[in-house]
Amino acid sequence: MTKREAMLRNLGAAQFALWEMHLYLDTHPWDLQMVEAHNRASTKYKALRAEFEDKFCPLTAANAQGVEWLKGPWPWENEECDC
Amino acid sequence: MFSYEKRLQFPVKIKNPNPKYAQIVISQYGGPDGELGASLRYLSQRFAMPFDELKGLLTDIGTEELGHLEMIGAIVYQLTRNLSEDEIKRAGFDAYFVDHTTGVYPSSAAGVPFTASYIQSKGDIITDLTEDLAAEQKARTTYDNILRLVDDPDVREPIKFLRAREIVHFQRFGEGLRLATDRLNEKNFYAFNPSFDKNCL
Repeated sequence: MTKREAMLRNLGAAQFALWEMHLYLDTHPWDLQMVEAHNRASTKYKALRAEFEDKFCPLTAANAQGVEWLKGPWPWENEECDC
Repeated sequence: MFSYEKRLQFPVKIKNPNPKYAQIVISQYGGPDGELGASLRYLSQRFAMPFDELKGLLTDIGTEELGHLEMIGAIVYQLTRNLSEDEIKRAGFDAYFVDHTTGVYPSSAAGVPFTASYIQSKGDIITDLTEDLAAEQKARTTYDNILRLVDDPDVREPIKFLRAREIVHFQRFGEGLRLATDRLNEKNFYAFNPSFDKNCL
């Protein structure tokens, strides 16, 4: 596994934990303990994401343009990234 | 609005192309219980949802389903790379190939094109959420069936992830239905339709 793949996996895991709590909070919005856990997970996710985008490539259109945005691999491709 | 994040919800990295598997997995792209139907169903039904928790739940699960659609597309794409004409014929992929080459087209495993008649948006909260519960189970069964037919761990791992998501969504929809009925007439949930008879809420 390349460094990029490993970091993307960590980022995906952090986002997944965050998302699971987010969905749970849709039906349990009064669960303040979970709200706190969600906030902690959100901080972790944002840090990992900033690290990834800094080191490799932007993940959203808001943070990228032109060549930087167009550069592959796109998510459905399994080619190695040269970045 | 929607904005795109340039990564999959769960990684898809398939080493060995296999057009037979592609033909099976495509059903979760555009088949009767697939991810396209799931996202359209929830993102359409949410307009009739009277309670904030349910507006949020349908928006969030509908959005996640779009990410699942992308994962299934990625699986089909990677399973159909670099195929020879001989491999296409041997795997029985020729019927798909003649119409779509190796493009990803929303259809069922049997080749039936996607149709909106796979979904309902009834404008009634109990009806819609009950359909959503069934939809999650139908998708879960389809993933179970795919897991019976596919041996390659590179394909099985993302499919197992998607199967588990159906179970979580089923749980959340069940909670959503309970939140809804808690706010209705406790002697008769059907006394009025809270999506339409807003003055009764």
